[in-house]
Amino acid sequence: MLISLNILKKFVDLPEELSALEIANLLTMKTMEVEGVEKLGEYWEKIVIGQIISVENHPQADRLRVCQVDVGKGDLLNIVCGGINLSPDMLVAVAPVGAKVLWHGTEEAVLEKTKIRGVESEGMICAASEIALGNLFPSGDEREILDLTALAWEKGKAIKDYLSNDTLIEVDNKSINHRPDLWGHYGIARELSAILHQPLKFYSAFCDMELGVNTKDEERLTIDRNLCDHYLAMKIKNVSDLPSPLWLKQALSDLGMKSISALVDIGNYVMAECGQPLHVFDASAVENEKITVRAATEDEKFIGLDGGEYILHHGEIVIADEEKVLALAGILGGADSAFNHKTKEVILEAAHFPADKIRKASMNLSLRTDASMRYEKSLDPVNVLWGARRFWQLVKEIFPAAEVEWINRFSSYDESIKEIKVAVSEFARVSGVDLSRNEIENILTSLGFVVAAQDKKHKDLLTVSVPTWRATKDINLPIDLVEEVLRIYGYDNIALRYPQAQLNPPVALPFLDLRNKILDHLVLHHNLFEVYNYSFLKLDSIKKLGIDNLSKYIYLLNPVDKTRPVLRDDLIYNLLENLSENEKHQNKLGFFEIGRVFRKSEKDIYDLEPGSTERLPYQHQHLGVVLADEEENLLHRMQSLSESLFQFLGKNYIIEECETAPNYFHSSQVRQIVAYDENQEKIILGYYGLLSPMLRDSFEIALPAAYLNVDLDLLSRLEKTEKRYQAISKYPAIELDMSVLIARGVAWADLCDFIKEKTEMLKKIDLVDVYRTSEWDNDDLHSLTLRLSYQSDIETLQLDQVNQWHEEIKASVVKHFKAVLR
Amino acid sequence: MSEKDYQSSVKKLRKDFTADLLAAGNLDDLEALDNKYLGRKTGLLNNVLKTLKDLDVEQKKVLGPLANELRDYMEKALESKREELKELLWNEQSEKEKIDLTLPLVKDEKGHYHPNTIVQREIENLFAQMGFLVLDGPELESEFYNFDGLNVPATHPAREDQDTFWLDNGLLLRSQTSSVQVRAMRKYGAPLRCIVPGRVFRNENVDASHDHTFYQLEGMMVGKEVSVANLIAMMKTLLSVVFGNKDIKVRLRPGYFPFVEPGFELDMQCTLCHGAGCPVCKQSGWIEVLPCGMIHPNVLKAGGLNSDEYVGFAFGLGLTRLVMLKYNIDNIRLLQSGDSRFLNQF
Ligand SMILES: [Zn+2]
Repeated sequence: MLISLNILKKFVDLPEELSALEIANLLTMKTMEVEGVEKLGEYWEKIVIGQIISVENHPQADRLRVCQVDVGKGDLLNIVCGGINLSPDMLVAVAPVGAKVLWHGTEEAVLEKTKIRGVESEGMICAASEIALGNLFPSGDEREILDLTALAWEKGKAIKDYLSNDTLIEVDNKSINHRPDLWGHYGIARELSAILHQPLKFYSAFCDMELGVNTKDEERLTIDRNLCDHYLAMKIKNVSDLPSPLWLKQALSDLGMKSISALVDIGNYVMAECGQPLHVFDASAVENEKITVRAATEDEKFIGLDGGEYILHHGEIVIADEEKVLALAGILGGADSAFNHKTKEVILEAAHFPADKIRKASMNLSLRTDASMRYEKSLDPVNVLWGARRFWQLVKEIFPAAEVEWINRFSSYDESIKEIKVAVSEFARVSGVDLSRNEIENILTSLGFVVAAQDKKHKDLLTVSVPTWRATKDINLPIDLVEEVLRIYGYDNIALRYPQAQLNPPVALPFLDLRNKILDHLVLHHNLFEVYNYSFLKLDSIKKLGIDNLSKYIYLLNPVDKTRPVLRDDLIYNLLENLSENEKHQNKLGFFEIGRVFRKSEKDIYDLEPGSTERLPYQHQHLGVVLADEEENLLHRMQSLSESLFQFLGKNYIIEECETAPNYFHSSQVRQIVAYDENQEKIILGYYGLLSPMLRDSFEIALPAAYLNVDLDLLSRLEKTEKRYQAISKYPAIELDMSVLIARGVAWADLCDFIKEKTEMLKKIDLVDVYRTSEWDNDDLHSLTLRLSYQSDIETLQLDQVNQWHEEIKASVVKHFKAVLR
Repeated sequence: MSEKDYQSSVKKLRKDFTADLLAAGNLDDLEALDNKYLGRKTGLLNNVLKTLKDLDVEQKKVLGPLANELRDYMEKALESKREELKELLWNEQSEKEKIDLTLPLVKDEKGHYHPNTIVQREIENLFAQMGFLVLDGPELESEFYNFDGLNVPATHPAREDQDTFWLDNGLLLRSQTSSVQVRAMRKYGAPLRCIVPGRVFRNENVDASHDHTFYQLEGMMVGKEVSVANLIAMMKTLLSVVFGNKDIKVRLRPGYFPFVEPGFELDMQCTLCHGAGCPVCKQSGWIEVLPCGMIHPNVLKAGGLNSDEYVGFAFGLGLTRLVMLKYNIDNIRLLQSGDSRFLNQF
């Protein structure tokens, strides 16, 4: 919203030494966010009024004219000009050499003395847009120069002598959404008056207070009190389609509004001044001069003065006569009843409508206007009177013959004054600054609050009456008064102080601990890249995984990307995309992500609402790891990564054959990681395995890839195994190797279990080497080299003895597994 | 052998040794020299000493020290020559082993944390040190915790705003980490101090600085004596740590959010121009960093607390924005791109 400094100055005296920027800064620090300050008149600083003496054709150019222009004191300027409406005696805006102008309304330039096609030109005759007056003096053709003849300005005088040099402050609308009183200049003037300790002029000084707003007259209004709690209609006769005086035109143009006709302009100007939207009907279009405020009937039609046709079916509030809809209440006037050049009598509407209804209607119809924008902020119903009085004051000034024929008013709004009690000590408690009762009272009073005299019995208590313009929305509680006082007092005046706090016993945060360990382990130990991916999935990706049942996913009603409408139920999809993207510039990849996945079918621990037993859907934190590499035993790498991770985390786990693995895994190269909870219930924590070649194909991943998935919420709930120190044997260990040619089907774990049973002196079995050659393929064999470590806790083992055990073990392995020693 | 002969042979030995020593060019020569003159069995000095036994006692007394003197001389000379040669050798060697330290590593195989994780953990540690709990909350939320509980009733415009993602099960994706405020108060009661870092979602148009998915870090402190002055202190500390322990100037100005009263926008003085004004701060000297305020009594009530007894502050740090500001990242989409060429810079 644009705020005019000139209008503000009508209501409050602003100290001369204060610049517009400083005022803007004060408002930013105490009231609302200012987005910018613009000083107008930059382009008419040096523009003077001239009178054309003669117009002659340019000798070299058909489209150009050479003019003699009198710029006062007998000075004649020779100016070459391309304007199409030049004529002798015309008053024009002349930019002399040295003046700043806007070529074609946009390109800034400083004029120099120059020759145009051989003829000297000592300046420029300006079009309105070339001196930033395009809004004030609109023209149909950009080759038209600005004709000031009708204004009868004195030649030789500067343009700025006739125009006001305003400065505009642009306010961020979002920062005043909660403040209905700031949607007009008077409200902002009130803020400045409180901030600068300058008196605020009464608005009544600008209004016709004689206007008999309570006049009893013939009943002309039929108002649904649920839809409107204050309505004032006033018929004014002896008006016409007069254009606005220049000051009004300029004020509206400065604020970015179009000038239409004096009467309509007054309405818009008053709205900008005091925030009250007003509407003017052509009285002859209102049947029997009777007005109804009601809900629209189903499919009722309405043609707005913007030319649009609207079909109403949400019970929007309409202003109607006995036959038709006259206006969409609080939003838009109708074409049929609009003020036009034949209008001689009007009906002014000043009214108050409920904010939520106006907002809904405006949203349903996608129609936001200056009026609806204000109504939806919860305006002060009392302001209806001020709007009408100020309107009538200006009408009288511009149309001296105008007369009020009748006034009708309906009101049902709650006229009681809102009262809030607040302790003086509350201000210090919230702010951390000691504020005296006096300071608090002064600030509240300067904002229009009324503080009752101190109560002898409750000396600490303030009883504060809320002014009507603050009572509709944002001031309800004692804390709201604290905010008022603190912001005017100045947040800058509050010195920082560290809080004093109670020390509480620590709360276990198992997930956090887990997350930190996983991060460090995977990044520092396994050299993986941590990625963040979106929570939304492509239906396409799901289909690539061979999943047809799309109903098991949670859908977004309003996805930002229509191709990604569902929530991820697994981290794999996006990690696969990461692989295929990065494969282009890297051939050894390792990524992981920690993030939530969502499942429709299961429930989480989080409640839906306080006290409810209903739970939100499953949204556990998962860990997903992908590795992609040419290396042959990728699965082993993933296995050792998984094991080292679980060992590092200190969690018990068992790796076993899968019961049912997700189908994106290579069906025979996948394992599940399980654990048992305190009730000995088996919990599947996750899976790891090679990804199926088909899947890689559909995601266009060339490298073999492995995936690990762990449900971290489940993992974090499991007890941690505490490490125990084992006494270090004083006696040396003896390590002996054995190599066996053995069926690939024999599981390593089974082999180890078998060997370990043979002697308790065997402390460790390491796999040293796995070897395969095509010769063995027919029998599906491979060669394993094992390193067995023998050690006793009570004596030094004799080599002979160990050799004997080792040979026995070899023999039994050969026998049991039908292996061959190598 | 006469006394004279003996003296002259000692002299000659000294002379020969000195000449040989001068000629010795490396440690091997030196060892040979050592053997030649001082060798136990066949050393030249020993040979000379052996002739001493033919002389009488008086002569031995006079001539004995001569040979010992020579031995001392030889040992010292050999030792100092040995040191000299060693040093020479080391110098040669280190010259040979000189390497180009500017040579890059053959391959970068280090792992990398996501930049958001780095900054988030730094802030988590900072607050944990001050006794704040680091909490987590659901991303898929109910209207109650995301709106009603935060004093945003059903009629409030924010509820209809297009920027909330709604789900087919009637729930929503949280639009702010503030959704954890009421959950935390209900679970832990008061006094309470906690932060909640996490992912939030807004249905916004995506451009270089806006994404539909980003990270916030919510913080709150509730107690009987918690004030605006405390909030300022904590925010100043937070920003100072994030920006490398510089003394960051902050200011509060009015800002409206339904769940706080009074509500503030917190600006920090531009670290590039130190308040003088530059393009980054749009010439204002200040950069808007986070919304904050004193927790609205209705929110305390929703959290099950007595709003007459307790006060508190809350803030909602835009973590993603802070990360971009800190690392000078100009496109928000990079953060969720999974591009290793981006990630390996952190
Ligand atoms: Zn700056």
